[in-house]
Amino acid sequence: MKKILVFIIAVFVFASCQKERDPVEVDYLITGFGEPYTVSYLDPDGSTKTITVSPKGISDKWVYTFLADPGTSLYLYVKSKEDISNSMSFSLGLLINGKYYQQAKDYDGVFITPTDTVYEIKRSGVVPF
Amino acid sequence: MKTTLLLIFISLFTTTIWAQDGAEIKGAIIDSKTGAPLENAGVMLQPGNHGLATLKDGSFAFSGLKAGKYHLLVKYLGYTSIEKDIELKAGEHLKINLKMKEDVRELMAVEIRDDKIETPAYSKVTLKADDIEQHPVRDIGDYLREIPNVGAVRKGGSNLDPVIRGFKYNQLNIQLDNGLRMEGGCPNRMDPTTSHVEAGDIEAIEVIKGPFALRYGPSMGGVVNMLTINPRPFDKFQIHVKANIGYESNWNGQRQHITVLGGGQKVFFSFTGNNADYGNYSDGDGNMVNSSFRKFGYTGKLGFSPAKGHTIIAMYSEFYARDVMFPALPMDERDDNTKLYSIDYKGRNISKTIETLDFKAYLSQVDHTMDNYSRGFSDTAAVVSNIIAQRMGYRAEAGLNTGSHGHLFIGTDMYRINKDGNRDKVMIGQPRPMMGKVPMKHEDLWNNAQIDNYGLFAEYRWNKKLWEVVASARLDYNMASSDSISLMNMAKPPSDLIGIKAEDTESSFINFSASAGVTRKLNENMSVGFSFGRGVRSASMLERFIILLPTGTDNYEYMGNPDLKPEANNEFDLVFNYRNKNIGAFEVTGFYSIVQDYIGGVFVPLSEQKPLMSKVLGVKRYENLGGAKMYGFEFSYGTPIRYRLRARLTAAYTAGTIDEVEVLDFDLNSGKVNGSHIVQNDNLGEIPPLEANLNLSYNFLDERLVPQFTVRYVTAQKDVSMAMQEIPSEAFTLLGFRLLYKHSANLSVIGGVNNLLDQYYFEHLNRRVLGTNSFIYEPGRSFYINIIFNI
Repeated sequence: MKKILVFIIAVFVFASCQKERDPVEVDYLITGFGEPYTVSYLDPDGSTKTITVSPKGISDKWVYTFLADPGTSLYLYVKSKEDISNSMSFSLGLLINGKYYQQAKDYDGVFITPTDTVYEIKRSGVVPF
Repeated sequence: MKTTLLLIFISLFTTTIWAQDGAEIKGAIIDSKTGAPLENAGVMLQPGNHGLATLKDGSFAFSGLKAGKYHLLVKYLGYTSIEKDIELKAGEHLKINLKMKEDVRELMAVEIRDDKIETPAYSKVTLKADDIEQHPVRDIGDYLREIPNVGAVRKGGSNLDPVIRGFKYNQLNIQLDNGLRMEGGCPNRMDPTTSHVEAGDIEAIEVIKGPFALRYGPSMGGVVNMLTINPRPFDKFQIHVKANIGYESNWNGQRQHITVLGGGQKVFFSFTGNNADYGNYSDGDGNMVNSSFRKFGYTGKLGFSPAKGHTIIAMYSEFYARDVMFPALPMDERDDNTKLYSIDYKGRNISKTIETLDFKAYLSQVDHTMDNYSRGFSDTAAVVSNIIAQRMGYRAEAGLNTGSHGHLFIGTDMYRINKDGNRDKVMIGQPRPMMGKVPMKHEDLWNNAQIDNYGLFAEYRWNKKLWEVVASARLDYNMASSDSISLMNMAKPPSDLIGIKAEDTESSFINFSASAGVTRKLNENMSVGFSFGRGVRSASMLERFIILLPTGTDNYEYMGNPDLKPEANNEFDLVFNYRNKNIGAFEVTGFYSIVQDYIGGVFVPLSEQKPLMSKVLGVKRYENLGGAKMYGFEFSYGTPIRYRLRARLTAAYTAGTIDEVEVLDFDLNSGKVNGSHIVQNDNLGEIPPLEANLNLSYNFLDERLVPQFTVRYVTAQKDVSMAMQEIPSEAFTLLGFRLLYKHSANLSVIGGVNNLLDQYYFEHLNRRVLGTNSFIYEPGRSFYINIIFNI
């Protein structure tokens, strides 16, 4: 009986030691734009990527999915000339394992160039432990 | 040796007159772990001075005794003595079988001060595994607060940093197994040496206060020597297993530990494994404190005894910490991976002149990662730091017999510390990418810094009749260097902010430390001792080479200073001891320290150096601040251990002042520094106030059931440091209860409750929660249970 108890404890000790952190699935998700917009984001390697997206309609989604370890920096920035302040379908979000971690339903700011008005939205964070 | 001691013991107490009343006491003495009979154990019975040695089967017998009360004393080299009160009726035939426990100090030769000196002229406390197992020890630094005048800096739930009589950090020599030292990775001391060791691995902890133990490395404020489980030879091949599981309610914390000890006469081994998983605790007001942590690891040791008196032990250990939360610091410890390697040789009774030979070589590697990912301000910048700290060294010592009353130890030791670390920031708070990129910064914390120390030491011990004398000295040659300590600003082109070139980081010092102590026995029960010591230590890696970082002491970023002179402690100790078998034992120790070249921070004007972070008050640079004084006392009283009702009372006090220090003035509106003034005799910071502890216990069922009741009273600390902008702390009283139950030699259960009244309190040494004036409060009421299996 005693030996069994000690054996159980020993197994428990060493089984416990195997717990390490599992990577999570991260989605950068943008929807609701009807006109081209520029996206800048941090990829899982920590480098900044910038692309221009041309949606076919406001129901089009732009999704970038990757696996990330806890502690990975997340950054998603959008620049657009389209005013989405009254849009019901606009959404920009960082999702972790399918759930919203950060979300925007409106633009954060606006700046005016000599030729255009540009709307900006940014969301960022760190994959939690 | 064993036989000689036994003969002396018996000759001292052997009776000449045997009473004749027909009663007798018979029994046997056996090893508590193995059950093997102990031959030649000394058994003494009082009154009457009856004395004999046990036979081969461990048996003994006293016959023809009168009715009455007797006191039985059993001694055996390498085992803890047993005392027992017996009431014998006329004609009674009493049978007593006693189990003796191995004495860690004897068996493992672990004493820093060997048994040739009975009463040291300074303060020394030894905590054994039996004591440790009775507590819910989740962290050794936390547990050391049980010792009078030992406190600890709390920055989170675990990894508390010990403070002895106001000395702390690198002023203390904290080591494992007589000489193995580690260099923690974190500049904020998230990982002091005590945090890299699991409590279940400990067989004993020795704490020597003051600069007196110089054989085990430079020592300025004191030595903490943690003696871990060692393999030992067995007459026949055998294996023993011990398992310990514990739970604490407030933290929802659980611990498991297992020890396997085995082998034969030539080859023997030990293996330990541990796991601890603790959540956040609640303080006495029900507030959750961000204090969770997880630790696990294992240690393997293999011993070899090629010939009698010669032992070689090789050790390998891995210890891991994960997600250790520090609400007082800007970051949490995310990962800490520690590896230890050591090899030890011990030779005993080499020749008439050479009594002992000891050699140890070791390597410790700490890979420490911390980040701010679990903090609110990680929204602005996600910051991660990784530091690699390595320490290697050796120690060689010979113990020489210099006559019937004297022993000389001579030796040499060496260590090398290497440290390199950086900090990466991803500026995710930026509203938009800059130049098409999310801005990132890479900064050095240390830049290939190295410290080498070569030491020579000697210690002479002499005792004759009523006098005991210990004198020791050591000479250290300390060298340090680093690649350039520089930090570039954002100007175009970038200019050097700190800008210390590599060649200007080099320094070397010769440090001389010495101590001498004498103890005079005033009579059989009373002794008085006086010691003087001068312990010198060179500045640490942090004090010499850190590149702008808040080190957590106050709200400033700190800069290293390669030119720091060594710090010295000149200390006097006076010890008075009184022991009486009916009254108990008293010990009072007083100390007075004069510290030279005290190392602390000096404010650097903003015009010279701006901080890197926005939420700090500015930058300080490590400097030698001049002289400081510390003084205080410790008192302890314990009733004789043979009494059923036992009491232990301790009290301790330390005070300290610095001769002259700069105190900063602040603009009340902006909160910024707008000047400074000099203050004389300012209080030193982080000194705990007067405290007293009472422990009452009663032994039922021949020590198998022992309830204990504890009271701890701590006064308010009003003597705070103006220079450190310390805040006074309030007095508090704590009650605790514990019940020990030994079901058998195979099973013990210890349960209890700490902070019974759920007091809402904090220790004076607890740090403030970052960005607030609120201290980290200690845990509220917590129930715990430890279950120990022995096979």
